[in-house]
Order: sequence, then C-alpha cells, then structure tokens
Amino acid sequence: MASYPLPPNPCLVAILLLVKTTSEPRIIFHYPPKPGEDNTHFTDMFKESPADDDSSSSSSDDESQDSSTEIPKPIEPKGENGTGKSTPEVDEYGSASPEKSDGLKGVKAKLQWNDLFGYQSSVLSKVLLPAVSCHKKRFEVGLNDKVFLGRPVFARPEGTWKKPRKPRRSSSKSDVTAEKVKDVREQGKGTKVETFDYANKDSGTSGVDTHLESQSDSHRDEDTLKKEDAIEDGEPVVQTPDTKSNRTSKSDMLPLIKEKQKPLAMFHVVFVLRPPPLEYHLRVKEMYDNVTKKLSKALKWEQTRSGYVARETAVITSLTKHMDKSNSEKQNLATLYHDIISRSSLAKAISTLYNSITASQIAHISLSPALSLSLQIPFPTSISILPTALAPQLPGLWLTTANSMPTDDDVQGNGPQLGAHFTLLLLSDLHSIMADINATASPITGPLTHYLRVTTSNESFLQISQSSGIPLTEIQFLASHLIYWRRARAIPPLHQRDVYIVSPNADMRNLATASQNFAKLFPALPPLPKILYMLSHTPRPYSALIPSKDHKPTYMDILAWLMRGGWVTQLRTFAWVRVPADIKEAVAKETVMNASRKKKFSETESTDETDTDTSSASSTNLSVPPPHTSSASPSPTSSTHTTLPIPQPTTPHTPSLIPNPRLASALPSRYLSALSAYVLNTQGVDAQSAWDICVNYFDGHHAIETIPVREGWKRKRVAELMGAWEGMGLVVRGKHW
Amino acid sequence: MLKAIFFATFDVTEGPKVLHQVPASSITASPSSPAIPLIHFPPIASLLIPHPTLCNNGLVTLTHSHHRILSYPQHIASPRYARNAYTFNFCLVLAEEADFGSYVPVVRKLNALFRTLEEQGQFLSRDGGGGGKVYALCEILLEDLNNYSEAMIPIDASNTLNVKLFPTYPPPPPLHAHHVPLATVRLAGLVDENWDLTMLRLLPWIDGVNSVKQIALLADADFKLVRKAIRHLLYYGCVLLLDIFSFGAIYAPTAEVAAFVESQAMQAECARYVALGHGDGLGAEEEGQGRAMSGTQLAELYLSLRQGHSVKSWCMEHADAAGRIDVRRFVTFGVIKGFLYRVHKYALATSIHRSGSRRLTKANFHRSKQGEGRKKERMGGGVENVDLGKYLDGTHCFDEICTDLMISEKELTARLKAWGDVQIICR
Repeated sequence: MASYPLPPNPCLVAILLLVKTTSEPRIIFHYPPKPGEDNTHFTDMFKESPADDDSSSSSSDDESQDSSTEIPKPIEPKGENGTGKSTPEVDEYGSASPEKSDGLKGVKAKLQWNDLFGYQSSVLSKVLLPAVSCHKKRFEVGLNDKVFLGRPVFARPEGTWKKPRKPRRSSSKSDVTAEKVKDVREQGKGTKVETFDYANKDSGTSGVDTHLESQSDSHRDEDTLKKEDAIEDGEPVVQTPDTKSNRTSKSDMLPLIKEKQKPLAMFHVVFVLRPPPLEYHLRVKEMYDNVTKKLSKALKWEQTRSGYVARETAVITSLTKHMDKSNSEKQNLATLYHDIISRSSLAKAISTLYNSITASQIAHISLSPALSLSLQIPFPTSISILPTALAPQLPGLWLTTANSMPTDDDVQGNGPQLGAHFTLLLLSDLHSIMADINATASPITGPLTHYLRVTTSNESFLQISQSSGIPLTEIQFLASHLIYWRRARAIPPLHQRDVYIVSPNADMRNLATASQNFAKLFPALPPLPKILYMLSHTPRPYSALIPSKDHKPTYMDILAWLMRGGWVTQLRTFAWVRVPADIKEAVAKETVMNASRKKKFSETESTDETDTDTSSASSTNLSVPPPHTSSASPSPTSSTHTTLPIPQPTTPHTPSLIPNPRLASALPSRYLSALSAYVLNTQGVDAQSAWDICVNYFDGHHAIETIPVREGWKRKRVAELMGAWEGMGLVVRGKHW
Repeated sequence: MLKAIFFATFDVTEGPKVLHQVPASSITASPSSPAIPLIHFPPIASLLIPHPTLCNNGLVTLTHSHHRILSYPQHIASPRYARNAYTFNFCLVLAEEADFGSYVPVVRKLNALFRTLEEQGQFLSRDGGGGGKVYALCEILLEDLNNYSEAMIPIDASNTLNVKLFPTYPPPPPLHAHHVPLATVRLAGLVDENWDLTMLRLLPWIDGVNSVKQIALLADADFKLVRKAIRHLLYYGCVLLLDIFSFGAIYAPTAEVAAFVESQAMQAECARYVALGHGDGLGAEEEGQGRAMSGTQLAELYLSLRQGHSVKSWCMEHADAAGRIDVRRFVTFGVIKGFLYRVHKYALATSIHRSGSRRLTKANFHRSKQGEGRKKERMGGGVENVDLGKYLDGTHCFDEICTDLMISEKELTARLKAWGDVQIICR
C-alpha cells in the first residue's frame, strides 16, 4: 500500500511566527488571520495586495493607500527595496520598545489574537518555545489533532547571530561570507580565527565546540542551500554584488540593534498541520523536509547576514502596536493584515507560502533583494503501478515505467541528469509559458526562450542539441528547470510508429470538459471520444490513426495533448531471453563432454584430439559453429563447470527465461553465449553483434522501443531482428507501459 | 512497541517531577542505575505538566531526542491540595517514527480513569513514591501491552483497567455492485454466534465469482446491507476485490508482470493454483502434478494476453495450453497478484458531450419512442433506454451497466448499437 503515491494533501492550517527577545516568547504574526476558521474574506483581499507589492514602485503606492485609511505610520515601508533605509527604522523601533509589551497586550485583547485554536496566545507561545538544545533541530509538538512543526533558530549565547567579531577581524570575516567561501583555505583560516576568538571570549562556557561546529555547519549549509536554490529554481538569487558595501552598513547597524533594542534571541516559524492519523508521518515529514527546514535555513542565513528577522519583527510589532485605536474589529483585522503584509516582506512571504502550499502549488517568496527562494512539496509526475480497486486512486496521473532519471544500472547511465534520450512535454501551451518567462527577468530568460522555440516532444534532448547547437548539458539544465516549475514533464520522445493506448489510469470524469477543450483546440478533426475509441482497439502504431501525410503534424500535436492530460500512455515492449530446449540440451551435452575431456585430459594429457572431438560433436548436435563456441565459452567456464550441478540427462529440457542477462550466473551465461553463437550461425555476423548489444535490453525492464533511440539504429531493423528472434524462440515479448 | 511509561506530577516543592518510571531510569537518571535516560526530562517538563489551560484539554504529544511522548495532562483544582491543585500526567514513550495511533486511546483512558479515581478517593496523591500501586500498574501495563497488545489490570475492588491496542486501517474504497469479493482467509472459520445475520447469509456466496449484486440475490438479502457487510470485510482485509470474469473480457499485463517472470516461487504457486483437478484447488496439488505447466510456459501465456484481445480469442489462440489450465483461475491469479489488469469498456454517447443534457433527454425520449416497436417484439421493456442514458457519460464500465440493469453484455451492445452515436472506449 505504501508504495502507491498519495494525492497531495498539505494539511496546513496556519503558519505562526514566534520570536523571543530577552523577555517572554511571543507569537507576533500568524497567517491566516483566523486560523481554523473561514478566511475567505481575508484571502480575497490579499489576492489584490500582492499585485500592488510586486511592482517595484510599490512603496509610494502603499503610502498613499495607507494615509487614506488613516493609519498612523510609525516607520517607512520597506522590504523589497528598502535595505538602505533600514538603519533609521531600527532606531525608531528601539525607541518604541519600552512601551511595547503593554501596548501589545492591548492590541492582542482587541484583535483576539489571544485565541489561537482555542488556546491563549501567551500559553501557546510558551508551549512552542523550544529548549535551546533544539537549535536547528526538528521541533514537533502535537495538541490534539494539530501538529506544530518547526525548526527553531537561536542566537548565540552572547546574543549575536554571527560569530563574534572584533573590529580588527570583522573585515576578514565579512570577506569570508561575502565571497561565499569560494576559497577553502580562507574558510579554514576563518574558522581558526573564530575558535581563537571564542576561546578568548567565553572560555568558561561549555559546549563551545558544538556551537562552533553548528555555526560553521550552518554556513556550509547555507552556502549549499543557496547554491541549491540557484540551481533548483534557476531563480535570480542575486549573488549580492554589493555585499561589501552592504556589509559595512550592516556592521554599523548591528551594534545599534544591540544597544537600543532588546536583541532577538530566537525565532521560530511554526507550521500548524492537521494530518490525517494514517498519513501522519508522511505528511509531517513532507512538510518538514521540503518547506519548514528550507525556510528556516534561509531565514537564518538572512538574519546572520543582515539582521533580517529582527528587522521584520520590529516592523510587524510596531504595526500591531498602533492598531488598538480603530474600532470595528473585523475591519480592523483586515486592514491590519493588509498593512502588515504590504510592509513586511517576511509577513508577505508567510502569507504567500501559506496560500501556495495549501493549494499544493509552488511558493515563490522573496525575503530580501538578496534572497528569494521557492518552496514546494513535490508531487509525483507519473506512477508505474496501476492502483488496484483497494489502493488510493490518482486518476489522470501519467502511467509509465519510463523513468527520466537514469538509475545507476542503466544501460547508458549518465549521472544525475535527465536522460539524454528523453524529451520535454510542455504541460501548458508554449505561449503562456513564454509569457510567464518574459514576465520575470532572469538571467536564463534568453536561453530558455531560445530553447523553448526549438524544443519538440518528438525528438530527444540529444537530437535537439545536435540540430539546434545548444549544448546537451544546457538543454538538460533548462529542461529540469521547467520540470521543477511544473511546466513540463520528461517523456520518451513521441513517435508515430510507437504504440499508444488509452491509459488505464485516465480520469474518465474529466472526459466531458476535456472533449470540449479538445474540440476547441482541434476543430475539423474527429472528437476526443472518437480518437480514444480508435486507440482502444488492438494496439497498433499511432500512425494507423493518421489519415494522410499532411495530417501528421496535427496528429502528433494531438498525441502530445493526450499525453499531457494522461489520456494515453505508450505501450512499450519488454523482452526476456528465452533459452530453447535444444540449446539447453546442447550445452548440457557439451558440459558432459568437457567433463569427460577434462578427465581424459588429466589421464592422457593430449589436447588436440579432444578439442577436435568436442567441436565436431557440438557441431553435429547443435549446429553451433565450433570455432566460436570453443573460443568464447568453454575456455572461461571449463575451470568452474565441474562443480556445477550438471543437468540430469533423464529429465527432458524445457525452455526457460533468463531474468537478468547482464548479471547471469555461470550456467545461464553459458546459455547466453550458446545463443549468441546460434544467432551467428543462423543469421550471420551482423545479427550476432546486434544480439550481443540487444541482450542487455532483454531483462524485462528496458523497453525495446529505446533501442533505436539509444543505439541510433533504424526502427525497422530492430523490428525485423526482434521478429526473427521471437520466431526462433530466443526472445519472449510482453507489452505494458 | 512502547519504550517506557512514566508518571509525572507537579511536586509542591520541586516542581514537575517524574514520580514513577518503567523501566527504571528511562526518564531521569538515578545514581543506583547505570542506564542512560531515553529523554532529557527538564526541557520538556513544562509541556508535560503544562499551564492549567492546556490540561484536561486533550492529547499533548511531543518528540524529543528521537522519541515521541504521548500524554494527556490532568489538572484537578481542589482546596484539599497543597496549592489548591493537583496536576499529573501518565506518559507513554515510543520511538519517534513508530505509528502511535493505537496508543492514543490508551493514554487517554489511563489518564481519564485515574482522574476519576483521584477525584473519588485521592488514589494518586495518597499513593506516594517508591514501589506503590501506581508503579506496579505502570510496570504491568508496559509488559502486557508490549507482549499481548492488551492489558486487564485490577486496580481495586470495583475498578479495573482494560486496554487493548486496536490498529487503524484506511477506510475501505467505495464498493460497487459489480465488484467481486474474494476471501483471503477462511471466513467460515472465523464465524461466531455474534456475527451479523446478513453476514452469515452471504458468507457462503463469497467465492471470487459472484458479484456483490449476485451475492445479494443469491443470499436473498438486501443489497445495501450486503454492501455494508462486505465493506466491513474489506476494512479488515478479509476480502479482495476482483472484476466479473467472463470469456469476453479483456485482460492485459501491467508493469508488475516482470516480477512474475523473475520469481520462480510465484510461478510455482501459480502452477498449483491454475492446475485442473477435482474439488477445490487444494486437492489439485497432487493431482495435477504430472500435467502442471512449467513456470516459463505460464509466463509466456501471461505475456500473450494483450489489449484488444478477449480471453475467448486468447483461448482459441492457445487452445493447447488453455485446455490444460483453469482459465478463470489463471486470469484471477494475475489480477490478485496485480500483474494483470482488466481492460474495462466504457460507453460514451457523443451527443451528451456536444450539447448538454437537454438534448440527451430529448434524445432519450425520441429513441424510446422510436425503438418502441422493436423493443416490444423483443421483450417489451419500455423504459430501459432512458435508464441507459445516464450510464453513457464514459465513467461507467460495461460491468457496472450490465449489473445495474441486469442485462447481459450482448444485450447491452445491441442496445448501444440501437442508441446510435456511442463510442466505446477501452481503458
């Protein structure tokens, strides 16, 4: 049961942001505004607001908007474009901090923030405050059916987020981070310096080593994280060209925080889930590995770099503080949320995250100009096992065993990249993808549009690379980018001579709407039910459907469309080597002969005679050409075969299948060489060399359809060879997806 | 598998404290025992003996150092206690990745029961530390739950703790009239006098051939009750669901067929199952020995089944082999093991999809009028075509239509032909 993929179900109820200064831990922000209740009122409203914020000129818009709603503005709006302005805000926050606690209490009472899932906010925040030992570890607390999942991050004991620095060392240290630790030697130096520093500063504290380790670890983590992101989303994770200037301003700023404001001691983004009891572990793990952990790492990175979380905390708390003046509670909450989300990039990120993840979509959040990341809970694009009546159903999911990621035992494994013999099937039409790509400026926009113009689902990456001149690795990179963003899927290239059937996993409930879409897209062609009906017959090549040569491009488009919707799947051929009875008999005889020869050999020490004996004997019995057999098989096996159980001569030989010809043990490998010789004898040298190559595919796991693509042979040739071998009883074929 | 049980209370002078723990030193280290505690209690103490608002308010679980702790904190406010309140919590410790669903009722019951006992007679607060009654109870509970998955522990003259671990299974899938249940266990051997009457009636008819509808008819029981009863069997995994076997049906291998080709054990099992013999397949084991098919032959036969090719035509193609095996069992074996699948047929009236339901009803009316004469001479069923219309949206397979309308596939095909523009899709 567990092997079946389950339909996506993020079961996310809310996201809370918990921070701790020197005083009590507080939940300063949560999204949605009223967790566990109907939030449509709010979500509708927020749908508009991000649009405002996306434009770079948003700050002025926001200001005018805000002033119209008569909300006191304690600070400058910032976030996306306000890094430079950060210093004054911190000051302002610092001055505001004394009245913070009581002011906030009033707000809480008014806004009913104290009631989260029926728990008092203050109680809940104490529950969710982890022990310091939980630093950067999985935090999981369940209250009834809800799980609070997080990965808390603590400041260092002395209140900083970075390694402690002294003025004289700060420059070298910032270099280390700024250069993204390109130089290993430099990194080593940096660490050494820290050790020294640490020992100097708090020599008394225990656990210095662990802290130090985790710190340097975290740096490495963040580096990898960042790299990952850059690779995964191909997103313009700006590699902060202005890091150095930033750094200086930041180092000015950080002491200010320390002086004027209660320093942030811990932050903890808590994901509240309500998983079904039977899927508890699966759902919690999914969320933690894909979302919680990555977000926490990114925030830690940004906090270390620029005090990001502390800054955002200041923004959010200063906003909530001023909200107790308004009257209407509901309106109040709505405007407050609108305000917070438009002012604080962290709050906005949390709301985006919540909305996207609950919709099982990809959340793209930008925390600061330097760091944007995309988070998603991945969803399978295909299944190889047809769900039985008892298993969870995922109708419409592509049913196939074709795995675009070649496994290490693949015939031509080429690393952790997309298989070169696959191609891309775009999941929406080219124009909309192009429009989306052009809407976001990214360094790979150019190559991506160029690639999308030449890509086709009828040719493999390799062929496209050869015809267009784009390097294969680049194509693979761009393709995996599109796949990550769920815009495309890797499939074996479509070909009109391959066989396609109506997928047993097709979602028949969608047939009505799909038919209408189909009619719109392909007018003047047979309707969708008719096409599916034509594919329902005895399987035959797709070309049988195409009425004329002129229709071919259209019908290939139809095929791509059908594949996209999971309506059809390729019926692929799988084969096993079959050893006919007479080959077995011949090999057995030969074994006996060799055994006797060995006996004789040891007795008489005469080689020539026996050799000719064997060969003549085998040639008469087997019609296997003697020179080949004797050169290929007996010599390596002769040393071992005396220990093998020799088949009983009394029982008649029955044909059998060799499951894995590439890893065949002694006896089957002798059968294989006998078969190879047999092919040479009956069909000639060409066929034999082909057999020797094809045998690797005859393990029931490699589709025969991949042979022409991978080996670059003509399809016709493979078909002829396969037909002949099947006729001779050397191969058994089966067809599935 | 429970790792530990412990009993924590709020000590008036020491704060949260583990009073009893089984096994010894599993939660807090003691100088007498060298064992290393599974968890570090102080950081989680505030969660296990929490704020009063979190007490009596349901389950509190947490993970800590690769263990999961299930608890149900209880808070009793009463002037008889030192600080006017008594807080306690029986906690179960499991491995973090273990399924804990079945332990939730246990921890709930444990705490609720002792809350009552405490309220009635201060059972817990008077018990004291060391080797008291509560400690003994924890000890027995841990052992019994781990060894027997249940425990019955007398507490005093009038109270007994009865707990049992019940596994939770996913809800069974929807059961349709055309599904064919096949027992995976000998159901007759499980029956006792408490079983449901409908269940007793229908058990003899569960044979892997009869559909749910047929079972209801044969057992002379209400269809809805039969369906409910079989869903119970499904929930406990006592039956599998197959399709209605007929020689006109189409079966094709799935990707799992590779496992059959490679597994000699499965081939041998299959050979025994499909061998022709007298009686029920078990006696056939010895009988069919001489004539049994080899695994390779069976594999080749399975691989020769394909889409668009009915069992009937397959039998004619492989007349020699088909004569030596029980074809129904041959097919069923593949379906049970998941390496064969039934290619179902779906009918789709294209007129429905072209223009909504209005035209459908019109068409229905039209056709029933038109075909009246023809139908009268055949059987006189006037309204069936109207019934048929709702099955022609492509989501109902032929088996379902035939079972619901109680007609044969042949008749259905004839009616569909009469209907006109219907596309038959095999999937």
